[in-house]
Amino acid sequence: MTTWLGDVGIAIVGGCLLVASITFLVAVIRYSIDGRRETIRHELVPDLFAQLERSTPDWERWYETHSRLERYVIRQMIAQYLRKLRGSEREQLLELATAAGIDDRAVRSLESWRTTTRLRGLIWLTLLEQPVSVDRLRAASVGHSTTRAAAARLLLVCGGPNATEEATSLLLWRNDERLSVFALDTLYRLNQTDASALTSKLTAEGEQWDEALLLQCLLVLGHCRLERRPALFEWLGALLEHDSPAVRAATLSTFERQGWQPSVRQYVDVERILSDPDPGVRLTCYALLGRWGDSTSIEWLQYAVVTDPNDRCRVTAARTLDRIGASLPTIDADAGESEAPAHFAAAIAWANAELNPPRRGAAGWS
Amino acid sequence: MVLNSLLWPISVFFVAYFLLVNGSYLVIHLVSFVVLRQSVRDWLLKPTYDPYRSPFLPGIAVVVPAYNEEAVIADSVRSLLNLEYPQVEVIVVNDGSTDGTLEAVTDGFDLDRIDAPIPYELPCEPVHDVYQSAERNLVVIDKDNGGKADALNAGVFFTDQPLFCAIDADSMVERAALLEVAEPFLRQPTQTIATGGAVRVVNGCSTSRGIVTTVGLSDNRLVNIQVVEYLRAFLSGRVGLSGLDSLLIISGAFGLFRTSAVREVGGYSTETITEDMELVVRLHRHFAGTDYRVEFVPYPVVWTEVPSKRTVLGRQRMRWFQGLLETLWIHRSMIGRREYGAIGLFALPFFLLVEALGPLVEGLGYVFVPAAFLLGVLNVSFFLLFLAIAIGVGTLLSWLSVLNEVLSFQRYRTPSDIASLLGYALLEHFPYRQWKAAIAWLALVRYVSGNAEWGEMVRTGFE
Repeated sequence: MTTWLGDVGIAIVGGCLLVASITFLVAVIRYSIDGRRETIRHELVPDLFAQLERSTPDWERWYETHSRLERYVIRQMIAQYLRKLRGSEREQLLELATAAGIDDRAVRSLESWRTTTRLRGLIWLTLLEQPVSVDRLRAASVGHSTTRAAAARLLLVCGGPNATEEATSLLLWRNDERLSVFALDTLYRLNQTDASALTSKLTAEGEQWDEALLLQCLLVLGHCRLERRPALFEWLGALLEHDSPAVRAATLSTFERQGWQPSVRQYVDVERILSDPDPGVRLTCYALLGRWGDSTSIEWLQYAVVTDPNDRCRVTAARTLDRIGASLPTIDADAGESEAPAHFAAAIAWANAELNPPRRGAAGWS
Repeated sequence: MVLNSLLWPISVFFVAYFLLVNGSYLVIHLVSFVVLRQSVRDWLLKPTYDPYRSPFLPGIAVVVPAYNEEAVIADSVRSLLNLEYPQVEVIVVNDGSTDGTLEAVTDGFDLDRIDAPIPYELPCEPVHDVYQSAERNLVVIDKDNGGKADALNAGVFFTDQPLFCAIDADSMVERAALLEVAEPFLRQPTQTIATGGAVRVVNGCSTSRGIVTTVGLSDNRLVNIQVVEYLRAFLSGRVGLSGLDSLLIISGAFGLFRTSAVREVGGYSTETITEDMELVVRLHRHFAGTDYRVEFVPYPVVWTEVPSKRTVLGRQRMRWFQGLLETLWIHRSMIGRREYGAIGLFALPFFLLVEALGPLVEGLGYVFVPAAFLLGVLNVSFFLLFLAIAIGVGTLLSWLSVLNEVLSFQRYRTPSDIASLLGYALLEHFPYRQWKAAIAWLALVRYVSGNAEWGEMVRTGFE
């Protein structure tokens, strides 16, 4: 037993020494390299900007004259400033990137078997705004959601025929995989001004999607401009009867931003939604009515202040009326001591007294 | 003879228990290693977009319970109002402070009293007034003293925001932290009900206007041992437990919750002394059988001051240990039950057998071993070898956490700091561990005798 324990002890001591050595060695190497990079960076920044100011800098020669570590820092600086600079300075940086062979290397990395290498390649190509054929992008990205999202971003920044459709299709490749924050943002920016790519996918396949993915797409759709297609609004109208209150609320928020088109309003059965059992759905409905702001919507809001069974919903309806400058319901003096007037009177008093009513973040969250 | 016959089963028990404890820790550490490497991939995408401009971010109410925080509350609120997040409402709950906490906020931020009663019921001690800023998203609820959980409940049931973040008034939240801790809610919008970020030690760091400017170690040995503990707890423990769907604790200093989910379970319990852990376990209990997620996100950081004196630390640890025992007792019926999934089958048994019983069994060892030696029944060579292995494994686990830090976040960057952290991981074994075992036994006695005082945290302030 003691011998066996002795062997275990030696193994553990060995493990400890190994971990400590690796930890310290990595710390020393990283600290030293980071320090050198920082120093080099301070020296190179003025030089880089001096080159950018020249009309025709010889980037190839300038890049070649630097050491390996300096070239690494230059590549980092290119990545950083490509995001910040526009116009001729950006053009110059792109030329420097070509001289540094970044674009070629990025394209080559799409062939790598390693997901992270392909991802790095896609990110570089996005920063360089260098288009790649859709077939090649698909081959490089479909295996993993992260690379698909990066490929969609590349299509977004490069544009081209059917770029929005192809990119939306890559993001929604699998109907059971939820979108990352980056993918959500990309989907939004692709469909922001014309959401037909997203709505086509939604109406064709949305019913088979995972509920969370459907909800994410509806949240995106709520911030996009929709085409006036009756079939789309009929499909969205049907979602107002979905089992999930979050989906119902998110669907309502898509109608909220399209309500300036009177023809759209017919697809929302306000009376039925005001009796929705979920307070979150009713709260979204009050935001929608406030946005629509017509006399009928105001009457519905006034009705909600008095009749909604939930305290918070009554306050939200009252706040909405107050915000759009509509009159709040008056309390009937003959109502006496009954509980209902007291409740809505409290909501009205609070809405009137508040100095800075809270704005709710994106709808569909609760 | 009787003693000798007892010795074998006792030895077997200690060895088996040792294997259970360290085997569990090792699994959790290895999972954390894998999870941290995976999250690096998401970081690569950051240069190509600006998540701050996303229009989908859910509104967040930052609830700050404040009891006699006059010295720090204004700076704290100022720093919270400057967080990088598009929709933040800061709700300070003045929990019956006897100093100038209320005036420090109402005067400092030009707040006015809302001249109407709150139109819905808040499940907390009576509220006197609500103050609001006309320009900033800042509200103060002034109420009778009811404790931290009661103050949190006032904010949770007051806000209209879909998510709320519970933080301590004296903590420093990094500017991008809210954005990062909210990401799981965007990724898994229907499932995520709670997320937590990492808590790090601010003692020894330089700060300016509520922001940590330079990260470093303190001159105080006790503080630096706690730095190693926090690295182990957050970078390895919570990352690993979250990877195993077994997260039971979201620190009270920094956690983000779905408001409706917390209201659904009745808010924070005012009957427990560690309300943060109890709430998370209750959420697991309530949502068991549904598709839900409680996740730890390691990169958002809140900086907090830890005790630099042993008496203060002792009180804090006693409270934590009592809270652990209390929560395990309240939710004992979940332990080992399949319907609670990984929580019932792994997390709760782990917390019971390892986190709760571990220090107690260790404490017993410190009594039995010398007794056995005095009675002449101790196999000294076996014991010394066993002790060396125990110290070796403990050191290995701590050093793996430091390695995680070096490979991932690198907040502590200088080789001298890293070498010091490796050294403090060794120093932890004596006499800190023995002292903690004694604290655990004291806490057990206090818990059994029904003594559940909070203990005051004495703060020296930021450097």
